[in-house]
Amino acid sequence: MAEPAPPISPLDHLGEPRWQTSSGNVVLEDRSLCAKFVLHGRADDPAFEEAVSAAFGVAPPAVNKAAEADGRTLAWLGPREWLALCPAAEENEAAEALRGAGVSHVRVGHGRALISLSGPRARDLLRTGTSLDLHPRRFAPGDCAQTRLARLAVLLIPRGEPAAVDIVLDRGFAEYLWLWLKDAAREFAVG
Amino acid sequence: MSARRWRLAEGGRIDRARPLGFSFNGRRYEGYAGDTLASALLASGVHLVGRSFKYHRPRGVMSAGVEETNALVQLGGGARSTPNVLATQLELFEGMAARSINCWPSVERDFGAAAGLVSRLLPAGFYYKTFMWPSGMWMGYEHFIRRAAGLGQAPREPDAERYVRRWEHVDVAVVGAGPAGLAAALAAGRAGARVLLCEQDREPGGALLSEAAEIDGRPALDWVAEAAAELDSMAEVTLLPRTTLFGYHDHNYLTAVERATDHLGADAPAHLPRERLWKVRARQVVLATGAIERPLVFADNDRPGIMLAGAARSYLKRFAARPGRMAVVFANNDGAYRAALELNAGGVAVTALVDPRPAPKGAWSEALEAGGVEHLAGHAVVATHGRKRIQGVEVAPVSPDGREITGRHRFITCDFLANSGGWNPAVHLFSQSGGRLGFDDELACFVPERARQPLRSAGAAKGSFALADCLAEGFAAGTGAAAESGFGDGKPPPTPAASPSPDPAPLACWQLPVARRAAKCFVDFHNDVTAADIALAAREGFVSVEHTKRYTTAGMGTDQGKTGNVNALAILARVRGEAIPAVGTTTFRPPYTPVTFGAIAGPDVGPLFLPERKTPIFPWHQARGAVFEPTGDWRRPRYYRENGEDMAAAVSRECLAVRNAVGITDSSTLGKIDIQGPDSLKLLDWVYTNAWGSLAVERCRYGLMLGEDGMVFDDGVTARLGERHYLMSTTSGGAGRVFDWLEEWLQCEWPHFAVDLTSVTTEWASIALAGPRARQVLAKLEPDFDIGAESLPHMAVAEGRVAGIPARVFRVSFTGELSYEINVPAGHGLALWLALMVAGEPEGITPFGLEALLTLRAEKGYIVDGVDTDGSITPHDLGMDWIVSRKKADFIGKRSLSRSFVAGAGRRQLVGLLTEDPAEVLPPGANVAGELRPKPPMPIAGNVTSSTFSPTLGRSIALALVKDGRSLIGQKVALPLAGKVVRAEVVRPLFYDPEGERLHG
Repeated sequence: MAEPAPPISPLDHLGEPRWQTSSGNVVLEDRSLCAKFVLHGRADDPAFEEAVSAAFGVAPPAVNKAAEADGRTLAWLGPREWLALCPAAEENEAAEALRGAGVSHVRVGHGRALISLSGPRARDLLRTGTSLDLHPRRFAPGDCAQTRLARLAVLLIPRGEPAAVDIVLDRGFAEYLWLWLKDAAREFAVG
Repeated sequence: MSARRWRLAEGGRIDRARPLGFSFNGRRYEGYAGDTLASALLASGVHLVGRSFKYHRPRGVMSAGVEETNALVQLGGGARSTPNVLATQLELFEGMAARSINCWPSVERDFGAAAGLVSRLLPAGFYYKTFMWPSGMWMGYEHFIRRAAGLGQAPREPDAERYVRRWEHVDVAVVGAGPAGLAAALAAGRAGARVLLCEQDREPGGALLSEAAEIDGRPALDWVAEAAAELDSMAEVTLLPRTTLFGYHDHNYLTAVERATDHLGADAPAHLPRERLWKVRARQVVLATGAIERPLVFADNDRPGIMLAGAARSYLKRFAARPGRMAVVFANNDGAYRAALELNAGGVAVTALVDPRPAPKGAWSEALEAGGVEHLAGHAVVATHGRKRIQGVEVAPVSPDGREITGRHRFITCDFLANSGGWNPAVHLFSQSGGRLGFDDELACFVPERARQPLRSAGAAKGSFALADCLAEGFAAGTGAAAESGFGDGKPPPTPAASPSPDPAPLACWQLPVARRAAKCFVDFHNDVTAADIALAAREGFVSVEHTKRYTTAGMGTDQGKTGNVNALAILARVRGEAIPAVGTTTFRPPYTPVTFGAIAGPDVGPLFLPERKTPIFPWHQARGAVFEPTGDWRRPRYYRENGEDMAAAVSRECLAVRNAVGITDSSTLGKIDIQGPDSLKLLDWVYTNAWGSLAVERCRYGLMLGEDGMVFDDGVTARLGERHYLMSTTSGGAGRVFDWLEEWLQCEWPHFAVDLTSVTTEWASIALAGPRARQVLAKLEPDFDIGAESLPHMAVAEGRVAGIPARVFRVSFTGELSYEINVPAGHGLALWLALMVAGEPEGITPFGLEALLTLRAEKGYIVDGVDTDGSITPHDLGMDWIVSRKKADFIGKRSLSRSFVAGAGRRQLVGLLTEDPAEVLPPGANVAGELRPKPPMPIAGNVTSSTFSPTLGRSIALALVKDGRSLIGQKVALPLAGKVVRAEVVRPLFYDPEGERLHG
């Protein structure tokens, strides 16, 4: 049987996987196709921590924290819940490793979209849609936050580059958020 | 040039190199960059700017700030028309077009001025007294009253401007960039705190912009410029000009509106918004909001050319505009003496200073006399003359308390009258924050007394009017606020020396005597409320300050009584014979100044008004001409329009295709919850009414979920995918609610359960193939598992690959036909749909929407939770006793099912209805009568929950909840509709294929 066509992003039909203001102050990138898992376990269980570290290469971070190593990210979601992100090409390998290590996990790579926001005014753009304090003193790489952006439930993960933030959200709302971000970026179009 | 006479040749903070043309009431004028519309008009000799609200009296510019009551204009036109803009705040731009409001046909010749002639017939409460009788007529009168009254005109076109919002978090928010606010921001900024400084004006400086004060022996404005530059250099400090902080809410949450581009006119860059709404959370707040001058309440005190003394100074000093040429100053405090001196020195000849205080003394009085201004102490203005501009005043000696005329009148010619009754600290935000005000008898004004939130007041906002005090308090407040936020050592920087300020204490004379009884002494200029109106209200029993306000409308204009309120309640106190604190104040509410609807709505308009949730197959639906219907956040195809058919034809076509061939529908919106862990079965047994232990792996079961009250809460099919792995499906709209429900029980009641839940609603695209030919279509996609009736029977699930895509295939049906629900990872959903459409073409595959689905399920009597249930319906009411386990020890809602009113007779029960006329489709919600009567009234026993025309049966069908409905099966009921009564037979709620043979096919 023929291999199926590769999966498509929820933003596929918009035909612009990357968009930026003319000034380059704000850059949007659709990275929805990266692999994602929800991991379940107990933070106070050393066996869980070891199993996750061994299988995924990143130890489960504490409350409202994210950890990254070799292109793999773990973000805290709840008292017994983490989101694991890795490149799409590593999805099966990661799933296999998690299964082998006995880590309870569910694939959510298709159901959650990921929009990468970068550029010098990226955080100013976010401030037009979320009430969260985004000052670098309060929200830096290593942190993560579940909050509302443009009235949508989102997970924000700041990245290394200044002001850059990854936004994870429900697939069904990805198009709305993409269009909302583009609209909100208008005031940063110049200068 | 007449303008030369009104504009000073030099000075002021205007840019004479940048002239700006503008029009007012259709006439062309010229002003300069730095002007407001008000200053440009005054500098062009225009005083008459509007007509008053009720009496249509001619009115002129009265202030130079946000407290303006008269100079309200309609700005621009078409989609950019803005009503009630304060000319005193409006920065001039090239091409500005403004016009007066509340006048017709023109401000010069106003028809409505007739109201002034009959003003004696328009007392306080006039509308209440006149138009409330006969009671039914109010709606008729209102139409005419609204036309006669009202101010500017609301624009008729959609707003063409763009508005945005921004959230901000700071350690210290400082409101007002006068000397106190600048000092506070400097102190907090130097300590390293994050600071936001909001200034409603276009530049910092506050009162210093309008006076010749000195700081550290140099012009105060040099200090202002240095302070602003220093603040600008601090990375953690934001100085927002043109930003009015209008709301002070709980937990130091502040709202401000920034006018980003209004001042640029047509030059505004397209990418910038008109306004930006700031939502600020501050650890500490410093209120340096300054003070607002109070007019004196005297005879006909509203003529054009009568202005507050501070405003007169401002026009002269800041805008180099002469507000008049021959002036009288009428004041009860030393501050106005300084104004008189500056006016006299600056080109406005002050002929007299009239002061009701019997013997004012001190440096300012002496300076006045040295300046050659006639000083009429112990006198008051008792009459004014001139219609469209003041032409003169009558003055007379008065008693020491300023209440009685004690001597002969004398006429003084003038074209300008500056007046001052003292100053009111701008305590609006302090009061909004919940702080308590106290009355300061010496200053005769309300001052902040006790704060309820982490805030400090500084400077004039606190009643400290001297420049030296403003600076000292500002530095102290900024230092303290920063220290409490964890910045700095709490030691304020040294305060610079400041030039002396006049004693601010006024004579508390709240209403001055009049020469003639017909004179009007205005208290609230905006709403045309006079001192007599307040006295009348009190006489009629409206003695509470809140009642007086509403009865007279004092303080209810767009200015919210910034100049009039304290005068009004002081007069009320006098009428009541009580002290001012005993009368109290009305409530200060946000907004401090009017806020546009656009700023509040922000950018969430048009297509961004509401978030929309879309399935992976949405683009196909759209291209195929689907008509969409909102389901929760989702947009689902309602039906697919073909060849211009109407909805009924489309739904009929889609239904018949499912019954006779094969249909395809996008069911991706169904909620899906992945359940894993050793205690998964225990969870299911608790939350569903039926028993789950007997469900084998690779099999599905339908379940009803009840609330603790025993009422149906959600339903759906749950599949067992593995030993300890289930997939629960929920209704499309209930997915979030059910997930939260399960989490709540797991987190709060059963934390010891080893169960992990994951919402996977959008992880999977879900496509249902339904109809007798569904199997042939699916087979063409070469599933790598057996889909025959024996291997994959009704209510079974298989995992494998379909068209090469990893898939889960469920034999479940909501249509009553042979049906496969194919789930694939969402990114493959569109590809699978397209493959099915191609594979199904020879079989006549037909996409069907929600409307057909709801019709098909109604034919089978399948309920839709929330449509056929309403939160008060049990499984028994639905005739679904079979799903309620008698063996299980307990489940959520079980105990409630045995309550007497739930278990007893008289419950509403689900039944089917067949109308006598098969073409008659009942409206959903229609009442069902318990007795057959030819016409209403009839006792109502229930209502129709679902109703449709069944294309399969060729007649109408309905589901209904009817009291003891099952006992009525076989009988007739009546349904009283609009204009007729319809009869229907009660039947079992199952209209098609009662044995379910097609389902198992």
